[in-house]
Amino acid sequence: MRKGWFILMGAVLGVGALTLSYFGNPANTGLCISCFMENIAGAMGLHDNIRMQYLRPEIIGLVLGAFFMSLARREFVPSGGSSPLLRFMIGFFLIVGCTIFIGCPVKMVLRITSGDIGALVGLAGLISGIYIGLEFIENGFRLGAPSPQPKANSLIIPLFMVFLLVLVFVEPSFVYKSTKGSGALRAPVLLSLGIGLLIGAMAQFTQFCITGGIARIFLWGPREVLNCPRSTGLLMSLGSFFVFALFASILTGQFHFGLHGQPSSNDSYGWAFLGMMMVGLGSVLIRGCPLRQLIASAQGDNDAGAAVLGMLVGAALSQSWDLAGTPDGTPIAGQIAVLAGLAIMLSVGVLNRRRGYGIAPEYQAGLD
Amino acid sequence: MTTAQDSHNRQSCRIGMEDCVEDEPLTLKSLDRLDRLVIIALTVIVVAGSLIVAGHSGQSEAAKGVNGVSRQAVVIISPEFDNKLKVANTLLSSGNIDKAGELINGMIEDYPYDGRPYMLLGDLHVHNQQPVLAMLEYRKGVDLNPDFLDKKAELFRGKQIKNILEEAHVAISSGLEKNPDNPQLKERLEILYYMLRRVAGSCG
Repeated sequence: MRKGWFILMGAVLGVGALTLSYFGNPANTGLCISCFMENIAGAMGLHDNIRMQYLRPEIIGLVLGAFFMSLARREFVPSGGSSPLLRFMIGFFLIVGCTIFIGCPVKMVLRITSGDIGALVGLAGLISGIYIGLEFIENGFRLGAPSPQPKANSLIIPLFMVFLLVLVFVEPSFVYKSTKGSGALRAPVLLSLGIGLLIGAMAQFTQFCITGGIARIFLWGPREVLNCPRSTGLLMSLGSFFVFALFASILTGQFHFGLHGQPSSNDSYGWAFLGMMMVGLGSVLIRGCPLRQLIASAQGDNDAGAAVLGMLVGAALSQSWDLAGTPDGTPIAGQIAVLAGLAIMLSVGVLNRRRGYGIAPEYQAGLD
Repeated sequence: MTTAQDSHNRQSCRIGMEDCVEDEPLTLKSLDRLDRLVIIALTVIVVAGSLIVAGHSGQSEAAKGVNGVSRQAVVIISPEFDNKLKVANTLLSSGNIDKAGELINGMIEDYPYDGRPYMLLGDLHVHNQQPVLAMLEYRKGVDLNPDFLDKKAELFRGKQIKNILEEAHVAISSGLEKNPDNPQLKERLEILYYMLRRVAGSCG
């Protein structure tokens, strides 16, 4: 695959996200998987925060864009059966960790490129979590190899998104829509959907994954990583995302350099670090960050679909149980949730290892 | 002769068909370096979690207070209350600060969970050119009713609050320059940063 595609991926993501926040999405939140999953959960009535209820077309677009691209490229491969319940649970904690930081890895980059230097703590936590996850991967961790599944099973997530899309346009009374708060801050529906479709398609085409790109630096080492075309491509996408998002934020006046007074931030740096550490660790264990889980679920991966459903539940409970970080800091329930999540993930890592073995075959895909 | 159990074992083997073995039971002897690190980490996590829970349980109900941001606004629907708000506004506009203060403090006593009287008290402090005290009252108002910082809400006053915060920042900074160890100023600086984050906006 030409390197230009990877650069284009980062450009589409960076410029697309900043365009969305410029045209109405919350500040520093042009695209955020965790925040938008919370909005979708609220719209479905899964939590009662009236300020976070909206069926975000961006998420719907991501999944459908990836779905159509996978069909077009004949890469829609129904698979599953690799510890789906565990993935559901890890998906739950992925979103909890993101809500503690007040953003997923995509939003983390958007916050950094908008001048929020406090978000660097999240980056440090994410990298630490990835490193820990790779220790398990390199020492025999496995969730089991996926096996072929009936095609109908793999259509569930894409069809669910089609259903949500219908609800976006029909607007029935049982779907909630915030009239104030961050859920009421939204870019035009067609713009959101269009950019989501484009990002989803490109992400499927390039197999983009933020945590995957960072993980390969540790797997290969800083010298060898550029000898691997796929690793090079992922890193180029990451770099391109960063650069284009930075320029877009400056050009659109969304760049405000500093530690204080940043949107979607707090001064609980320790918990932000641990929250993103949990995201990094979980992402490595289930082979993908929250964005990657959505894309993979669209191209037939039922296990990723289980993770996506776990993410939705995590988004709902983060609001219902007050787990999410706020400008005031990290609530006690959120602190306990992060510690519990880390403990559970570490336990999963220990209990699912085959000692004396190296990287399991399902984690070797794409490393050759 | 292949038994059904052998077939099942081979199918369940995930790493290397040629050397498929059943999982060894986890014993102390089989623990390697990674296992030991994880056990240490789990111990630290359990202890930390217990300390957090114990610390939170040990706090008095008053000390626990409100967890900063409230999602739902308490808005008193009462003609008498609305009338008092209008009168207080009028008194402030006409410069009758003492009577306004008396009326506003009475409303706070009678309706402690509605944010509007606190916002009026903040306006009173603005009249008296005390931006720091204004900031403290705006904080209470905003915590009780997030609509004051919600661009989509009728009660939105984000721009005005932001201007006052800038003045408060100047006042606190100059105070800290003269007296860098003043704990009250440091606390107010933290509140200022919190208010700046609130004004900037957040998910949730």
